[in-house]
Amino acid sequence: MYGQQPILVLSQNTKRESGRKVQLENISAGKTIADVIRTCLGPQAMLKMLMDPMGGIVMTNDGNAILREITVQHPAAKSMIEIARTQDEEVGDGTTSVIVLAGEMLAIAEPFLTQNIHPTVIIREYRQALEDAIVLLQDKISVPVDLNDRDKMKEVIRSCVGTKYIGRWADLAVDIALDAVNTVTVNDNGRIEVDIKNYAKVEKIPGGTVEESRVLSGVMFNKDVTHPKMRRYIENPRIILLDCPLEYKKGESQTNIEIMGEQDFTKLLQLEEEHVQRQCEEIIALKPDIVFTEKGVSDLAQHYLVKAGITAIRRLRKTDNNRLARACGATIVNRTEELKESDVGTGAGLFEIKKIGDEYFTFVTECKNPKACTILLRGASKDVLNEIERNLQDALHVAKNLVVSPRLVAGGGAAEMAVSSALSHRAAHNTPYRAVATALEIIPRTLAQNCGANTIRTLTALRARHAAGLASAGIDGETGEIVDMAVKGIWEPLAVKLQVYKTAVETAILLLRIDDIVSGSKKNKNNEPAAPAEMAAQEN
Amino acid sequence: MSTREILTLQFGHYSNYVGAHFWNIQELSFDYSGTATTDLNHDILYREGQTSRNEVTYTPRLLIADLKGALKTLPQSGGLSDDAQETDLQWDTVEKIEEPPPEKNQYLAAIDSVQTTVADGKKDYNLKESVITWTDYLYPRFHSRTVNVVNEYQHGSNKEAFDIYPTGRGVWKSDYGDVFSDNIRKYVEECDSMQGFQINFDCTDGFAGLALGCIEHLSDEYTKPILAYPIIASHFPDNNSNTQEERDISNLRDSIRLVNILLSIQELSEHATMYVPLCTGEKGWRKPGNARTFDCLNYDPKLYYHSSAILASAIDTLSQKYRHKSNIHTMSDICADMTGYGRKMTAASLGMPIAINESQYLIDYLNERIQPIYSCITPGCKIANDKLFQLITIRGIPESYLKAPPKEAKAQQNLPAYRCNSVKEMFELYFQANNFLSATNLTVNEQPLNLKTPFPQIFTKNLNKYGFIKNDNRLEDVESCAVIAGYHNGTFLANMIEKLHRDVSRIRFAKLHKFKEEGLEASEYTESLDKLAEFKDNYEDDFEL
Repeated sequence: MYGQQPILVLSQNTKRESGRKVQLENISAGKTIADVIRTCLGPQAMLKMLMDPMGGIVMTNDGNAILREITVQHPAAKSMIEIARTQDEEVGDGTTSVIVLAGEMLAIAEPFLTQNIHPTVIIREYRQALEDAIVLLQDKISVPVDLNDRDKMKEVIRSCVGTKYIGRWADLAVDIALDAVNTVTVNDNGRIEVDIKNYAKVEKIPGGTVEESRVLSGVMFNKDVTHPKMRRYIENPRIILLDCPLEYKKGESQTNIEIMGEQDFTKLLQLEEEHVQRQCEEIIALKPDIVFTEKGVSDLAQHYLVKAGITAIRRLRKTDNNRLARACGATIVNRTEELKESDVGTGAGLFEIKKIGDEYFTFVTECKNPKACTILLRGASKDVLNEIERNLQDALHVAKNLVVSPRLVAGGGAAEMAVSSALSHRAAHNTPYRAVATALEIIPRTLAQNCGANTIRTLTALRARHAAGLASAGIDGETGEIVDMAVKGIWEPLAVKLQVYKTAVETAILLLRIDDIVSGSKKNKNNEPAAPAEMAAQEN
Repeated sequence: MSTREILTLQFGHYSNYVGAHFWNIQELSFDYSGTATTDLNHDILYREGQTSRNEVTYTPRLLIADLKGALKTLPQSGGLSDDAQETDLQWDTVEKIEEPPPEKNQYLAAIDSVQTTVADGKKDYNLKESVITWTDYLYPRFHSRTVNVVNEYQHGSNKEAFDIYPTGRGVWKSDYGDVFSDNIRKYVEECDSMQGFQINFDCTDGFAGLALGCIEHLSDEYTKPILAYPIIASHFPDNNSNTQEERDISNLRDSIRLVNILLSIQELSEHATMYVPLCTGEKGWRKPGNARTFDCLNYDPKLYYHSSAILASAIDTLSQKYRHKSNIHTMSDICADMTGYGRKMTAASLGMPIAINESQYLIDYLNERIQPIYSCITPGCKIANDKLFQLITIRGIPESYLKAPPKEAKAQQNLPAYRCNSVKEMFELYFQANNFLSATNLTVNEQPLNLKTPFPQIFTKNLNKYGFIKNDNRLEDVESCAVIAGYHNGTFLANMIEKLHRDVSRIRFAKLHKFKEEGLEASEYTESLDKLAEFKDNYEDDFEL
């Protein structure tokens, strides 16, 4: 054959790593990330204080909130952080668990790789184990819950909230979450829709105490009336919602008007005024007490409205307007000509503008059948409020998950132990399948570790209990003792648990499948993005 | 002849750089000798007043917003000496702890010592190196209510960065906004028949929110036109990152800036009468990009002192139209002319200097010139050649440069432009010939742009005193130059909006949680994106006619 010339395929400054080394590196990257937030699991979790690159300070024990602040370089570590975000978006809770579990799933693959077992073999067994675990969770381990049983529901949410900063006000938080979710749940012929994001708005007002936080049976927003003479307190108001401006709208295209005489000019002005007047008359005809609009209200329109005793509030945010519509039963109207009696919202019991601190807030409360609500949070400082909001979001998600799929599993690591013992019966020692079973024990182990218990002794005892058939035995995250979770009343929604397992194992599989890292980043001198990889990196 | 007053507002650090140059240009063009004639009515921008000591003052109608610590030598009272005599304390035990007053550079020291000679002094103050902030080269003194410092945030601090739109909105809602609107009210009440507001603001940081809060207030309170210049600085300190970590941070900041730009552009389309984004970089967002090039200009985009001077000359030249003594055009006319079909966003261009050879005639210059005589200073767009609405101002070309006298004309006589008898006519013909299907309005002003000392020496060596290219190598400082600047509007701006829309859509809002924490909901953000896309439709031809 010919003497082969070396062919340059990749450009010279491309860095390339491949083979076993890459897999081991990925594993250690994954483990490192997991180690960062390991101490944030459980009720005795530690807080982390983070300085973000822009200089802001974040105090939290929320896995996702911590990881998103960390700048990492390794691509595997980046994808670990990504899964925390996915988890947060998907079910809103279990972000710490998923990272810890994924880290452990990677860690247990390490011995197999060093034994030269091919990654695809490991992956196949992982996948099998995951499928079995899901079936076990769905059919055997989980129990159904009655949505009308408020006490049971509270228990579940409390066990979620208990691990968070807000845990001190657990009862309050649980009530808030449950009320909010009940409010926004729409059961439309069996199709259940729970849109927390759009219809349960959290408003934070620094000041006051946390105990003053509550769910309003209606909505609130940071607005004041446009004219000081307008009423600020109305009982049983009739509400009209608009998304058009109450002012003369000038033509968009260029118009030239030639005016010959003085009277023409007066006529012109008069026409503009009449337009506004007509709009106002159409509104006044329906005898509303309040008009909300997303756009502006001109002085002239204010004048007519004040004369008719109507309160007007302008520049509402679209989202606030939507919430208001659901809360008081009004319809948002674009043209005042088309206003009908049925568009008027009469569901609200009280309209009130209050001054809290230095700002005016509009409250539309005591709604008869609100399908949207505002959660009003009070607290000492902005940082505290932000942390409480994050916690509350988790609680809201738990409540939502329950409404959507009402099944529960025992908390405190009990479910993991149950799955683990069931799985380990099905496979021999030293198989990746068996390793997955062992890896699940990381959750109870970390729980025990975080509350200062003797890990080995506790875990052995726990294993023994499960072997004896007590499937709901778990670790009390406060004390480190072994208790029956069914008795203590610590439950988690099945949806969260399933998502945690799926995400963790899938991520581990994905990272194990990688055997080559090519980083072709150009060291660009002029800072112009060149490579597509870099363009992608910018999309954050 | 009545004066149609204008109130100018400046928000943000870079905008203040631009503003400082702008006011320097104004103040240094004042003529105290009474010999020179000017076409401009200075009372439009300035007000006459009296101090408590009965001294007459002439200060700009201006309100400035900047962060604490950005002013350095400029006192918050604006710099006119005030009377507040320090009361003698009766106690002897008082310990006075004072921060040392910031050191004044040579230029400022010179202003303080010899009030009259600075303006025409030839001394080199080495401002290029010594300028740290915009007050370092600020010549005028301000009225006591002009400077409004945002005390909650420190300039240049990493701890509490004033870098996102909602924080600015928050500041506007606080007492700061109340005081600011009171100050606006006081200025407006002084005016007899106000033209409108001219607003320069940084659209990349918290000042965007602050400015938009103010613009919304203005459009609610006053029915006057609002001409806004959202400005993007020519360079950001984190642009030149070397390590991966720095690059990540820089990317994050770019994303934040980009979202701020989006929010300002979109909100402006609702509240402003007309707005013109400005940047000396080509791209504007995601790094300002390559610096725009101008003939015979040699500036350093990293120096705000340099790039802001270019934008200031543009704003000064553009504004001549509505600051003319004859009052032919007012701000509302200009806005109405330029913003047909709801196309409120307009591009701007600048040609500085108009580099004619000193022995050449304008007719030959325009005839031989192939590329446009101006460069675009609006980021991310390229001014098209046809279907334009444009308002162009040309200054400083003497009529003697127009064309050769008939005896020497030779080949010139064959050109159709030879029939033009004034600079204005010739440019009108030029634009008629170059821009197809366009409406062009020209203003010609004989006065060139005066380049007195605080203006940076950014010109190449081959220019003579009047800013024209010289034939020999004699050494001369450029003292004035001819400038062309224009507003341009047309379908080409749709590209810019689309580019902005595309770049912003690539950002995942969830990653910018700081916006969320400050109260901007994700749905508002997507709504804002949608509205921008809708706004773009105004620039499509298909929807019209």
